[in-house]
Amino acid sequence: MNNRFCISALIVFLLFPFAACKKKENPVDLYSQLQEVNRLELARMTIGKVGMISDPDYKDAKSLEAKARAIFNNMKIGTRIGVYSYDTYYVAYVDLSKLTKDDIVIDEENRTATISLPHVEIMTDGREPQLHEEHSRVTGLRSSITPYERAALKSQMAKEVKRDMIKNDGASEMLRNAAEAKGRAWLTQLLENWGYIAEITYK
Amino acid sequence: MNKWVKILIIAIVAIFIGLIVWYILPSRPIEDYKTRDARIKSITKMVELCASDIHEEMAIKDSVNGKWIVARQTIEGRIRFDLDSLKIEEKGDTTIIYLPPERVDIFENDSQAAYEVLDSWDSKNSIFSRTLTANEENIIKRRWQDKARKRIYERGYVAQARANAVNSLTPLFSHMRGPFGKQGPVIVIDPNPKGQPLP
Repeated sequence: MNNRFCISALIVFLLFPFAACKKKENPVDLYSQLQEVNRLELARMTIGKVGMISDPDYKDAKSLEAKARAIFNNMKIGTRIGVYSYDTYYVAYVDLSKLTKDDIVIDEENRTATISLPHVEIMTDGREPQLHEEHSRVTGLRSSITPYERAALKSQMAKEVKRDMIKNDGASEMLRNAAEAKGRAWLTQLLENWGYIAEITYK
Repeated sequence: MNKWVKILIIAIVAIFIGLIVWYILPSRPIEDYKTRDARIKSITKMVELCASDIHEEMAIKDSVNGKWIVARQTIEGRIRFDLDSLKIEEKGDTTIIYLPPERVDIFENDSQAAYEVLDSWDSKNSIFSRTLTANEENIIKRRWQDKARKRIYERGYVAQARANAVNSLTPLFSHMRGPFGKQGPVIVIDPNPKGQPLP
């Protein structure tokens, strides 16, 4: 009798801590969950560039050699023009591996999540391997445009695309804004699904 | 014949031959081509996970219509997953997320020296040789792009990228709420661990 009472008391004692437990959702470890993603790409920009292979004009020639070449080329019979284009791609992304624990504040009581994301970075994704011939006119006794010339033109165009991008602040700004808006909308929706009201900012 | 007449004839013939050679010889690449400022063609919003970056130097030797080219090309390959097109299924209290098909992008590196032509010749005509046109060169480049893509699959980069993507996405979606608004089990499934079959 005494033993039965002791065992019952022990069971009640052991179960006591669980009596106050309600079924509760696991707290969110947003920091490590987002960090695992690393590079999240949010916007892509396509930049077009057009270049032309033709006889240099005398007035545009800078060196003596170029001036001489311009004079001789004008003496040749026929026309030699080729217009080419290609696209370069830029990607805006957030590197979520740069998140720190301080960047995320979660209020479980009010179900709010405030995240300060790393700033949006821009990188070149590469360029189209193909060089598109938009126009070509080689007449008379003129030689065809060679692959060497096209490669040299593309090399010059690549250098100028970088320069044009640095010069054109507006382009980077537009890409960055598009990426920020998309990142904010996507994460807000994701956290909403988890039951949080999200506030997303960028550093 | 007068000595001066002979010299004049030789000079005229020499100039004539020089002009013919000048016309026939292909033009040397010049240092300053005319170009237009780069312009924005499009800006697209997306949510993509980039699971792999590949940087490769390629030597190209190929021909079209008997016209050959030898070149060196630096390529950038990336394996991406579009997170906006995730297929989500709900079974009971469990949410199943299917990893979307990968997109393998092969581009040329954007540096100045990323593409260099080393040699180009016509194997059918050695005297009146034809020049490789831009369209023919593009056919060769497209062929080598496809070869690079195939190599990425063969080397197992796609399978690795897919496994990495599952590992990254599993914790990210682990707190998704199921069909009854409650947090239930979430499983990320890769329906095709080796990637999409190449055409």
